[in-house]
Amino acid sequence: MEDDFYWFWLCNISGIGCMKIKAIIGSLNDAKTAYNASASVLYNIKGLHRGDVNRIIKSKDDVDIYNAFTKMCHTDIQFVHIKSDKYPSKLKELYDSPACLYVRGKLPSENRVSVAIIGARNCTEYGRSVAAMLGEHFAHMGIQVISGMAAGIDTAGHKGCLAGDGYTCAVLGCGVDICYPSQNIELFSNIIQNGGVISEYPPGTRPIPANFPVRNRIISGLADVVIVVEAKKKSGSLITVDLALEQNKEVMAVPGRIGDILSEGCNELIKQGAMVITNPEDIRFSSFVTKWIKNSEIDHSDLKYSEKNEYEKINVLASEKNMLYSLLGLCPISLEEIVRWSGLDIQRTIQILLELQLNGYIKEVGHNRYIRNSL
Amino acid sequence: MYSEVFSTTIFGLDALVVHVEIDAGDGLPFFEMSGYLAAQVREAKERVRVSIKNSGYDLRPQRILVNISPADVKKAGTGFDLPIAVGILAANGYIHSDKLKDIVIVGELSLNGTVNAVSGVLSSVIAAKEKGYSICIVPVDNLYEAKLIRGISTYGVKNLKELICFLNNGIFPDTVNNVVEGQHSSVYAAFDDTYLDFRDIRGQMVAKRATLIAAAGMHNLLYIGAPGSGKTMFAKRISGILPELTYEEALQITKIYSIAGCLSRNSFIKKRPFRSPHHSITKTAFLGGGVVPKPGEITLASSGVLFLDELTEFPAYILESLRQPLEDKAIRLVRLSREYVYPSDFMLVAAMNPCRCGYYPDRKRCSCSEHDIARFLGRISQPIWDRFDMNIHFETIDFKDLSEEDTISKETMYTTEYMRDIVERVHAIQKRRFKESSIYFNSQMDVMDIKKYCILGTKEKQLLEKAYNTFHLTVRGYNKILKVARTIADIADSSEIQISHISEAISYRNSLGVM
Repeated sequence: MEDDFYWFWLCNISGIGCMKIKAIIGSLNDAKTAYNASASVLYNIKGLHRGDVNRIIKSKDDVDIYNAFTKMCHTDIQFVHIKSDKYPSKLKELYDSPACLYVRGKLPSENRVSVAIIGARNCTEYGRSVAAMLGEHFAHMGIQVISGMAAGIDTAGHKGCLAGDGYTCAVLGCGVDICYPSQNIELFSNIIQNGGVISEYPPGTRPIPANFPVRNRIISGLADVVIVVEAKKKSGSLITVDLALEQNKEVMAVPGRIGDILSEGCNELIKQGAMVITNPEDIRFSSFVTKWIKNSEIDHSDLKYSEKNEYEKINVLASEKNMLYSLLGLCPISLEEIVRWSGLDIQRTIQILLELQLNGYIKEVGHNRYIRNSL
Repeated sequence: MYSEVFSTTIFGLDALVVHVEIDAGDGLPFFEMSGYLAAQVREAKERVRVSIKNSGYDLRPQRILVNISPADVKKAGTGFDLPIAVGILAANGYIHSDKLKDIVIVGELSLNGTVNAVSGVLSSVIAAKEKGYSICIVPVDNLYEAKLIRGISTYGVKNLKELICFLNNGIFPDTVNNVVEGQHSSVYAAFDDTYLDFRDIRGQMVAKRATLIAAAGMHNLLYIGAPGSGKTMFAKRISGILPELTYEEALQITKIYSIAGCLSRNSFIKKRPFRSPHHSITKTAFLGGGVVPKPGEITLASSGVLFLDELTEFPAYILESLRQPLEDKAIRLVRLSREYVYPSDFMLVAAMNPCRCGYYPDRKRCSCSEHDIARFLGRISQPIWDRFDMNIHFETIDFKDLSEEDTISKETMYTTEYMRDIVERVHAIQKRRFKESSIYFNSQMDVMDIKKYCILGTKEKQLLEKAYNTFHLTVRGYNKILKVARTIADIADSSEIQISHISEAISYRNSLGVM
């Protein structure tokens, strides 16, 4: 506890980021030593300037840091510093590993495969369903899903994983006591309960845009495989991909049609050599995962995609239903078009669509626009 | 000499017969008016004097006092010029006072003696008739309007001289009055009653059907769709599929338009009104207002359609002010002197885009973030969302549909004539159903009525229960579905609400506002 405070102090000095902390710890080994170190000792540390040393000395008298620490101790926020046993070993390998993490819920398990599902915020319904499907199946396969809880693909990935009772971890660009975006509050509390919410920023940090690209290195750092579901040509997700490649992780991309703006980024990645993922089981082809499975002592017999026989399921449907179902895809189709294509009258069409909807085969997105519920 | 002439003043939507008393006596030349007069009426003084002179009558210098009674009612409008002039001439012996006993006169005078049109003539004639007067003199430009009232002789005058001639001799030099006298029905028939036809719209079958249902049950309707998908075209055609106006309704609407001064020369409102105010409208123009309130857009849309295009652009205070008139079907405008109740019995139709760019959820064209969309939809408050029983999403039409010929046979089904027939039938069913209650349409049913008239079978209940849980409906949403389902069942001529009716009603629920 006392140790935690010294770490908390070290991580909350303004102007001292993770690289400088790394330098301090590199030479002094411990936060407490750093706290008690004299100015002359600090001057000798490579990478610290005169200004930095002054700031460090001054911050020892900063009451705000102490108050913030006491306040944090009264919440459910756990403080994990880089020398702690709980600190994820995968992050230690990063060049700029965060000096500390603020955690609500559980940290990802070291013994299981972790996959990051990332993508555009303004995604299509197709992307949303794919992300949710992947998340859910990964949950069944015992794979942990890491993402950033942003709107769109991230949210869908988290939700899918939670729907499959799996572990999911959200890495935030703000304090772990702030839910951003705010409409995700339900998801936020679900993740805290059944997974983990992580941030390198102290509680109370506002979601400023500059934080988000920075936290991406933690997302890719925690994951073994990074899957891009939907991304435009210039997308924030591609930053994560670059980081993942720097960190020597596998990158997979969900292919899309030529001409779909939101698939251009993914297709570009595939062109550059990213693996294609069209089925959750494809994750096994990743050398990272295979290698890991071999070395692991845990039984991975559950690492199998239980393929629901979609075709069989649909064939049970009556012919009219079958016809309407087959008209639908993962791109939303309006009622008007369905009526026109099917040739059925409006009332009949609406009735069948409602039945399909209530039975969970299809769903309505937007108003009077329908897509299939599953791939 | 003293004389008395009868005229009218507009009071809300009705007119009040007033006495115009004139005393022309000896003394220093003087012209004074009394009786709680608005500025327009006071100005009559000079107009009257000059127009009498220019009509060729000689007035000796005298002391003239005009009083309009009852003195506690504010008199506004320009219709007092003519009665005052007639009164002065009668006081000077140009007309025999006995001739004025049974006549109500309204009209505005020009300086050269010509009689100009005034607003609210219809109400004036009605008031004259109700008070038992047998003749009503109106400006010739308002004659067609006046002729709509049966049971009173109405005459149009061109100028002051003509009127004096009539009052003294009982004949008009002109023939205009003889032509239309007593031919109300032909006057009525002469007015234009052509509507825009739904036949002109290609495709959009779903929207057409939904519009039909909305009109049949007078459900408030919200069109959501991309720019240029035809929302406005639809709205403009809705008033055409509502049942034809009865003579009484038409009279009431014409009266409102006459008072609002929206009636052009010799016109009569026979079409159901379609009002589409721009979103920059002021609250006063929207609800009605003024010291003596003039009817606003919601009253002018009465018995017809009030269409709010680009609903999200309307300021919140305008939209929120709609809530009470929508419930009560009337607006109460309270002024210090009196409370005025104007009808606001319209069908509300609104159109909006689903997001700022207008293309959501088509992600090929829409790049609005979820937050942007939520904020865009958030401009409309939940109570206003709740006022719309039905929501329809419009589809942009492919070129193929615009050019393809073989779909026409199916489309021609939905012509304005065909749709109006159905709507009329369903309105008749509702009239029978609500014979003993104070409501007229399915959309006005309250919880008790819904219990009484929307009885469901076991299967239907199960379906609705499942939908209620799946779609997280609210109780209000549930009731709205039942109301719309009732109308759909009426269209199908079915006394019970069946599964297909409920299914269809569910598809019109609001799935955007609860995003």
